[in-house]
Amino acid sequence: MDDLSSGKAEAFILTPAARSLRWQDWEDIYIAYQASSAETHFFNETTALILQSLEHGPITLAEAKEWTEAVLGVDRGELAAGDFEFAIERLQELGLIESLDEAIALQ
Amino acid sequence: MKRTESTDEAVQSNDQVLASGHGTGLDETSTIHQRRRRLVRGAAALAPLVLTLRSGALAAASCTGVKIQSVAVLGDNSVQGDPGPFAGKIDTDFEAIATGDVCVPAGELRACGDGRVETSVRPSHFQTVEQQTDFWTCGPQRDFKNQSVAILSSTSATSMGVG
Repeated sequence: MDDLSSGKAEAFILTPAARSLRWQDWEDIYIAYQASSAETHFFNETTALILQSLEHGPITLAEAKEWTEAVLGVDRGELAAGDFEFAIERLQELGLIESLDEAIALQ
Repeated sequence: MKRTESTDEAVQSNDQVLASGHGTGLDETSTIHQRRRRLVRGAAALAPLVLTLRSGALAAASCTGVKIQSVAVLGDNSVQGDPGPFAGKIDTDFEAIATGDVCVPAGELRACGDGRVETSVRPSHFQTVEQQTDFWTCGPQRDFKNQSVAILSSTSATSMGVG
């Protein structure tokens, strides 16, 4: 995975599994059922927005973080890079997002 | 209330971002309310949350990340009945282990590619304990001696239903 501080600009996209999540908004918690793995995920608004930032095509992690911060209404950099990267790593592990390069290579 | 005013401005400008096309899962009104609630709760609410509930018999269908797939735990090394100073030590670079990590017998997990593991049962497990500087064991009683264990992060362990 790209390190936000590395300056590299690898793009990420949603996987088909992420696009077919069944969402339920429950106050501040977002419950998403992933039929492909029979898993139920619990996200907060920040994580839901990270996924949302990738809805309209490939973007870099830096762009996703910046967009998420803007929609959250916080200053740029207020979302800790470590927290953001941890979420990206988990979303990759869960098969919800993937690197565009990897997706192309697999085709 | 300068803070509130500036936040409302941010809300307004960000609603324009939302209105420009990113709309799934978050409707505008609830988003505004959530931002205000988050201000009250503070910065902790900003950190992304990812928890996964795995579904019973289908749990084996999905994989989770593993920090260390297999590492030896040292056994007793004395014939005098003294277990020895390093009995139960997880035999790896101490920097690879962190508080909250979980030891699981390596044999109870299956590799499912790309550094991930899966299990179809709830394996026995112990949280890692730093007995002294740079000396980690599985549990306070130095369990899993003479066995190979996998080390899961606390998040991966939770995702797998362990812990």
